[in-house]
Amino acid sequence: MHDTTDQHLFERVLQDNDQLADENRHHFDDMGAYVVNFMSAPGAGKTTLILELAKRLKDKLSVSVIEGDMVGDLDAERLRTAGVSAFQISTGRSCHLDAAMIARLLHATPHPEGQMIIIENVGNLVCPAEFPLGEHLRIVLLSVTEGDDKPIKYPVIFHNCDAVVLTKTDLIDHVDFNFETVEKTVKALNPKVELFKVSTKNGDGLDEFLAWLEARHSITLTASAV
Amino acid sequence: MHEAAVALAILKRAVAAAEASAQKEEKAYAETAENTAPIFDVVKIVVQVGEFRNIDAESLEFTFSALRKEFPRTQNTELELINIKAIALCSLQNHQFHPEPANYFSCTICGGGIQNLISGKELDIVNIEIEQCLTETAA
Ligand SMILES: Nc1nc2c(ncn2[C@@H]2O[C@H](COP(=O)(O)OP(=O)(O)O)[C@@H](O)[C@H]2O)c(=O)[nH]1
Ligand SMILES: [Mg+2]
Ligand SMILES: [Zn+2]
Repeated sequence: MHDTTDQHLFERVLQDNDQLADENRHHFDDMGAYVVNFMSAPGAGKTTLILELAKRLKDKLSVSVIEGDMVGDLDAERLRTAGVSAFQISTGRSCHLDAAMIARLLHATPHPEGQMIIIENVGNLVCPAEFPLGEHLRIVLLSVTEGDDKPIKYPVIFHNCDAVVLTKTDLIDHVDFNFETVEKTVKALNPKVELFKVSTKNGDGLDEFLAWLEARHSITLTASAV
Repeated sequence: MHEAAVALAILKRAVAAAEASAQKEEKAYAETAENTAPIFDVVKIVVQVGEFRNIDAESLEFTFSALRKEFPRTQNTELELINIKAIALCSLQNHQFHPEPANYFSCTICGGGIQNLISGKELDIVNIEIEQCLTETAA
């Protein structure tokens, strides 16, 4: 007897992650925390930018940072040294944070708290795009030293984000990086995306990016208070 | 390499489907007072993968065939991947177009961007084929 039965169905493969991400989102909303997920290739400048933002936000908002790394806690240590509340998630062999890792950290003691929680995802332009965490904002960093063809090679993450921050603009004269090419590609992939240019080295563009981030934060708070 | 996480999610779902069939069958057996616990194997699982998902088919197939050995009911399960082409609705004039690197992902007719994707974001299980085996060793 070898009957086979077909079960025609329709299920999202990553529905468990998506569901947990929804639960995280509710949890964040209940905590009154606005959550921003920073994604990029390794070395694009996530930790440096987050440190800069945390320093500037400190007097206005309570901020904590979640650091995702495959091994070690160097970045979290870097932030703590600067007086920023930072939590490390070591992902081990996983090349991205997932919603379950965030959920575990939220239920641990101590856990990240504050009006803004900044997440630094594992350095990678591929995998983090597939795993929403429950964040309110998704931000992709691209450093000018990486080349202007990154959005062409990794379209999915640029399609699935709210803002793209071009970093290390102080180095622009030393590299072949065409802003127009990037802008054209990113705006086609994601017409509503916000585009920023920053340098943490000379401070260019930081105020504009910070102002936008604060505006998004307060819009969301007002909306959820209604 | 998140394909391992994706392969595991697919296998988890396949195992659950095999168990559900076994349970359903067990009830029927109980009614006829027969004592052999039914066992089901997963023969095949069909997954749709959109062009706008970061899934590398080759590495998904590779990790799947390694990881299926971890579960008794998926030892020989075949994975069929169906590629779904991306079709975008243009942000300027609602044209339908195929977003491609050659055009910087913009509309081939008017140069607009991707308003939304009509298809291309799929990562869905659409069919699981299950077979009852006579004994545990039949697997
Ligand atoms: N010249 C320059 N270097 C930067 C800038 N931002 C970050 N870096 C450097 O780039 C390297 C990687 O930065 P990091 O923040 O650790 O990147 P992450 O891996 O994305 O977290 C470090 O050596 C930083 O000092 C910038 O705006 N200009
Ligand atoms: Mg870092
Ligand atoms: Zn068009």
